[in-house]
Amino acid sequence: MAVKKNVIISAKNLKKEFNMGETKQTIFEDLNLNIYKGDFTVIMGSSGAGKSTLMYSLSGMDRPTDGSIVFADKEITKYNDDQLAIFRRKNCGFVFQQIYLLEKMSLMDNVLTAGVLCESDKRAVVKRARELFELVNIPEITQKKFSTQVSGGEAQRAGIVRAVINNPAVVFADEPTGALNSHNSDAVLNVFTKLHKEGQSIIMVTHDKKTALRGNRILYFKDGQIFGECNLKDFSEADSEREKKLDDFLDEMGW
Amino acid sequence: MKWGGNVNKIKSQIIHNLKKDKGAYISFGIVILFTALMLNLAFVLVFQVDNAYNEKFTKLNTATMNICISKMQDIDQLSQDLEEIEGVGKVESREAVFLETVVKDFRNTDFSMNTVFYNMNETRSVNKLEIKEENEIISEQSIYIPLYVASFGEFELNEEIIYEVGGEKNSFQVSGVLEEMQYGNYGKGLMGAYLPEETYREFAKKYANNIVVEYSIMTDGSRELIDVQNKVSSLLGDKGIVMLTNCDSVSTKSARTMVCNLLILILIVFALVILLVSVFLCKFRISNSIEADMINMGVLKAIGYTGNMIIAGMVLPYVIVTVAAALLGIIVSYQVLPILSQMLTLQAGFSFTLTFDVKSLMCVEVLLACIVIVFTYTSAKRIKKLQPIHAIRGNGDTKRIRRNYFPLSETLGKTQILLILKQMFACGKQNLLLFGVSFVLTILVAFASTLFYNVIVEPNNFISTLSEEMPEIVFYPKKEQEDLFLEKLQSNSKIENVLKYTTGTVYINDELVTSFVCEDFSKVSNDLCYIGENPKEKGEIALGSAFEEKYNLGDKIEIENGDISCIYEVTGFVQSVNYQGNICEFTIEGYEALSAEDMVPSLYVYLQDKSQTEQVMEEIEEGYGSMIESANNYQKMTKTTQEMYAGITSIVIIVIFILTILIVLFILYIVIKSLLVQRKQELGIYKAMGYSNWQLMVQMAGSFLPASVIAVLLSSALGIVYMPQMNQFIFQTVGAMKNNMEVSFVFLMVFAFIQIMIHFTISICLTMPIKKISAYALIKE
Repeated sequence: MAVKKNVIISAKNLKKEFNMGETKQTIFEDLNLNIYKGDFTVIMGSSGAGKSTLMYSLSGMDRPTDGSIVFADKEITKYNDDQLAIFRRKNCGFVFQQIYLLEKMSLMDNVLTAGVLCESDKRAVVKRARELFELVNIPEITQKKFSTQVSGGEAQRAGIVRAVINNPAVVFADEPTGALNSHNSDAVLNVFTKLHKEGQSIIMVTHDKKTALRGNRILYFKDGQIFGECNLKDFSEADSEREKKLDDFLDEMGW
Repeated sequence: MKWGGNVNKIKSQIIHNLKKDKGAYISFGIVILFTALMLNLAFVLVFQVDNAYNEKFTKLNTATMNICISKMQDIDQLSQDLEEIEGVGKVESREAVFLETVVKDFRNTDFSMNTVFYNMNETRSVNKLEIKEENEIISEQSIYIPLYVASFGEFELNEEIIYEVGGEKNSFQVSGVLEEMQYGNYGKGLMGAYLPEETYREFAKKYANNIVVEYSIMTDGSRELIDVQNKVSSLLGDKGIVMLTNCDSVSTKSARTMVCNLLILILIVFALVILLVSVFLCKFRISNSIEADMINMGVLKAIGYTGNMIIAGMVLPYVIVTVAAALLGIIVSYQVLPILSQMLTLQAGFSFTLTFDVKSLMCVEVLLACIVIVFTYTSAKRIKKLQPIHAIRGNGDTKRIRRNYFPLSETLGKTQILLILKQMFACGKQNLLLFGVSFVLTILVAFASTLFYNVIVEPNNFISTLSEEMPEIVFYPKKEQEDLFLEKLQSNSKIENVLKYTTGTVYINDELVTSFVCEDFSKVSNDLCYIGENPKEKGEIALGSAFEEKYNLGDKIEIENGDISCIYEVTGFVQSVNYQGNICEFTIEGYEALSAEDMVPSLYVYLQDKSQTEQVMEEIEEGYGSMIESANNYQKMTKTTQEMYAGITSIVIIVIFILTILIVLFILYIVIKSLLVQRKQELGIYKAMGYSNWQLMVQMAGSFLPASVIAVLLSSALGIVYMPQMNQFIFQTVGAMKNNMEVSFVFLMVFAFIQIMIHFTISICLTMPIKKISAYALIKE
């Protein structure tokens, strides 16, 4: 018997359009989507399809033109900017392709800057940050360095620590390995897998099949709609059946 | 640099830069506009007022030196003797009446002023008069008054003007206003008044003992004025002739143009302060632009633009803005000039029209453009050394390793505060700039707050520094009833103290000097003595500051009054702004020894309740009118003076505050604007993490608060030390060797607090654009 999953994000009749001077470009329209708690959801699609726009709309970072989003039982589409900021600090963690660490701060300070937003006990935040840094294999000496003094992989793993420091309901990752070499990519993806195994809900946008393999629910975004969906078992290095299933799905989607 | 040839090639760069930083250029333009406005006002005044003065002086054929001697001492050949002095070209003499007068209702108060009354129908070849306005009908009581008395004293045609002489009122009707260049203004304490022949004859008959002969001496330019003056003094001294008045062109001009020169000085100083701040900010902004646009500059160099072309692209927008804004400022200044010339006419006593001045325009434009070019070029010249490949790769300053100030995991304290401190240290240069500017501006604000305290809150401090004794009422009793009247006053419960205090005149070195005579100087409310002591005994005298260089404490000095002369010992030196230090002090016994009969008794009355002055004065006048010659509400006069100074002070305070706010606004605008551009991505990251707009605004505004708070508090607290020195310096220049100005620490702090609040409010307002930075924009970019 299939286990019923809890919906963490529910999007209804979602529409997003951009003003392009006198014309308008619609990215998606009448889009309905549920994201489930504990899932590692991967959004795939061709370049420029609007994957990131969809993800940022779901996270409350960007406002949809129309429709509603209920995130953790809150209808965030009705929130103003500051309400959204407060909502984000408690419920969302972001990992960006360009990493976007604060350049004038050490890796540790980057993490604490986010951590203290939700926890007033700074010592507790520092303790949790140290645990997370250990989880992503960043030693204490590196934690004190600036982002410009560490490798891309280390910086991105610090970015992940910053994203999860407040135990967010969902971690949103936008092409997190897009700017990294193969070795660093693997290290970063391993962290995501580890987090997923611990029950963290993750939404990741990627156009890389190897990265997508880490997810358990693959959504294919095309022509402004979820064109197809593929459910996989949890990630395992040796599971070739899983990889084949994704290959078949992507072939079917016209990848 | 080949500016001309390259302008076309860099036109697009200039336009791009102007468009990109519209706000910064507009704010820079506004500051330049104010600077140009003030500089042009100052230059026009410099170039035109002096010329206008000299032209009028020449047109009216004004004498370089005018002296009055008693008619009784006038001898036949004096005119000839004066003409024979080397350096004297021409001498003209005329009869006049010289009187110590009180002009009633002069700017709503009674002002003591020595006046020389002339027959205005007498033909004049020197010291000519130019009638500005007059009535067609001349009456027996007609008088023509100088423009200064009319404009500053607020007398109009047909109005009554009363000259009180020793308690006797001489009423005239103003039939004309004229311009003369012979006398100074109120500061000199000597004025002319001009009567139609008939009126003059009657007046001269009435004051026959006061008829004088005025000698107007024109120098021929072969000798310095001071040499001629010394020779004239020696000549008169040898002949035993006493100079009743001595008015020379140099001191007259300095008295008449003092306010104008002061204004020019203030305008130039303020303009330069603003200009300096703005050019330093240009430097700061250009340095920031270079860091922010490093890659673009590298690309431009890579495709063949030379360093000079890129520099020109940065410098020229500032020069264009400077030239345009300065021109606008100059145009605006011509709207202000008529008001300014009216104000100055009031003080200078001669009318002049300020016109468009090309020389001033060129000076302002060239000066501002040169300063801006020098400052902007020196900050942009490092572009020359920029290697394109390093710039493109971003190997410039932006990648340098910084120190991690206040690591959050290791530093105690609230994170929000630590984030503010982190940002503050990351913006060291900006904060240093803000600290410096705030510190300097606070000196101006401390000056304003001290003025405010001493002129508006404790006005006696200011007034007593510039004035002499300040009772509430002065009664002039009838001589024979003085003692009885004194008894009555002393028994009045509303009166706190009554002091026998009067003024008179004596001759020191053949010059007429005002003397203050008091029964006991230890009881005065405004002690004028700044060195030594006031006289206590009959044979003692305290001299005015004008005599400080000639005499020492303990010196014996011979004082003359008519045929009587006595020896006095100098016990101290006293100050008087109104008489420019030409005063002395005696005890009543000391003065009686010189001129017992001449002394006009007066009683200075100090009340228990100062708010009842009017009422008490009326009661006493009603009760003892028969014992009184006249009475003077001195408090009213002090109040009028205080109101006049309060008006000027309020303007100074408002101007200082507006300038302070403008400069702070300008600095913070430039600093915060450049930070918002530089930190756009960083702010987006903060927003993505969940920081609210308000948190980020407070964080940014707060990072500039410590620098300005420390600077303002430090400068304000140091005001306790430097303000007395400043006051001492300022008041000494106008002749007040000691001042009663208090520096209130509380007021300094109140003004400091207001300043800090303004800084923070401006910072918060300027950080508002943070609201427009969306977290999503960072991803899209």
